[in-house]
Amino acid sequence: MDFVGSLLTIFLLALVVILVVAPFESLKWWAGWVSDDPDTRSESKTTQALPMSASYAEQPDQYVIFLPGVGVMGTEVDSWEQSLVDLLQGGLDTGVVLAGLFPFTVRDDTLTEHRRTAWFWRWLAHVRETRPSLIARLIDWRNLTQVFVSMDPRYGPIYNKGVEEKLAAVLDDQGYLAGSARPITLIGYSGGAQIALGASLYLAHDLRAPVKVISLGGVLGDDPALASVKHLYHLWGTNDLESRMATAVVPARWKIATRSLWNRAIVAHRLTQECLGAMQHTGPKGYLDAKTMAPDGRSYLEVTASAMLRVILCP
Amino acid sequence: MADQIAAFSSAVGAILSLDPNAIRALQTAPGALSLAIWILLLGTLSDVVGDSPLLFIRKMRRGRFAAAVGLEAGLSVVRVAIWILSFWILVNVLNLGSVSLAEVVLVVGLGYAPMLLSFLVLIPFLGPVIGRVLHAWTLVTILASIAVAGNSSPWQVLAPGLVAVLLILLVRRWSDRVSVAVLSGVSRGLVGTDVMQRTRAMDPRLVMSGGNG
Repeated sequence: MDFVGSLLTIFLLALVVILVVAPFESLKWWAGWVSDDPDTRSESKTTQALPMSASYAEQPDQYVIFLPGVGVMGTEVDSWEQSLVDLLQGGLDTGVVLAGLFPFTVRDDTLTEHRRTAWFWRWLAHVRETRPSLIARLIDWRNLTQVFVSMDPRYGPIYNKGVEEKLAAVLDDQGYLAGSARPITLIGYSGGAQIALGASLYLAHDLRAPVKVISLGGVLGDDPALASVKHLYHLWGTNDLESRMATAVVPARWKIATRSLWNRAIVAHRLTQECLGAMQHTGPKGYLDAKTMAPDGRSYLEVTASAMLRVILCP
Repeated sequence: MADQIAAFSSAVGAILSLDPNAIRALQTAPGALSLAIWILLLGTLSDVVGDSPLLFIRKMRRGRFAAAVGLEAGLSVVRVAIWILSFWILVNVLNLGSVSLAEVVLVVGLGYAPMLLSFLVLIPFLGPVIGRVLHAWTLVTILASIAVAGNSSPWQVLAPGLVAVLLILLVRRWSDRVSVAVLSGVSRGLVGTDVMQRTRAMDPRLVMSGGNG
């Protein structure tokens, strides 16, 4: 029992340490220290070549970027999310859907590449693939702490600007012209929703572009972007405990907080919340489940994709 | 060394749990004043660490950052010293009791124990709330320390205790204004930035312009 207690204490301490040091990655980036790190200097720009979901001959008329949830470690897109990306791409004639970006760092690398702790995250990834365990949840926790950084008014602007620069670089690679007013839609799943919302403020400013944000079961704070975002669509399921928990821990999202940016965005009709049905946050019966059917005969995945396409194609 | 750290942790734990017998034992133990001074120094250092994001936001390079942290630590100790000295002078001027400066340092120092955790304000999203809780907790522990030193129960010192809390807050506000006014100028002269300011919410427009915080 003592041994188990000690292990749990060590695990809890590890959680606190990860939480305390979470802001320093983006703070060091902002202060210009990151380029001084030998392990990020040489290969920083070559780590992520974003795969395009479809080839196109002309300039796309829609740019959609999908930001994953907190379980991601690198640029890989898991099969559930790839199914959604494929459905979205199929529903856009001349638009492009981009996935495979790691949004939980301002650095150009991922957890498993080009950083001193990469071996640790690769080991955790191996543990997670072998069998689910508590220790492997450190990956989710590490990324969730970056969502908290994005939400924090002291650090959030810096973090969100850093992610925005990565998004702008990806859009530039895909031929996006600043000032062209081509619509951009950021889709954020779970913790990725807060990052998408936070970055949208700077993306709209830097590219002079209309930017919509879609949150899928999103963990969202009272972000300054709510004061100016073209529109935020928050899609949620009645069985999504994570999303409901996020609402509970952010007082600004409570109805009594009438002066919060969140509630003012609702009043200004810039924030729409849409229930997709009895969906869970992830896995079977989740938003991306292609096997569970909704009452209308469509799969949960199809319901989710069609709600997103409706938003994306809405002028 | 390990024994000293264990003893220090145990003493801090007793203060944080507001155990009156343990606080009395600490106040009367040999070396109590040195324990109180250590708590004040480490609590101040923890506070400096918690406020360090400001220096990153101002885009300080590593060398100047280290110098600024060192300077902030030194100036923060001076700031706390000015606060305690002001409190002691006021208590004597108002004739609220005959206490020596060493007794004030002892009582306030032990009550400052919650500030040892003030580095936790670094925690994203929850940090500002944690900071407020720690400040409230510090007032309560100082009050408990005063009650124990006066051989009273917390209930007996509730009314004078509220006056004491008000006095502590007023003195702190006044002495902080004086300290910040003087020490800000010192820090600007030495490291080119005002290290006495606190890390606050950042204006997104500042980030858009890429400017210094």
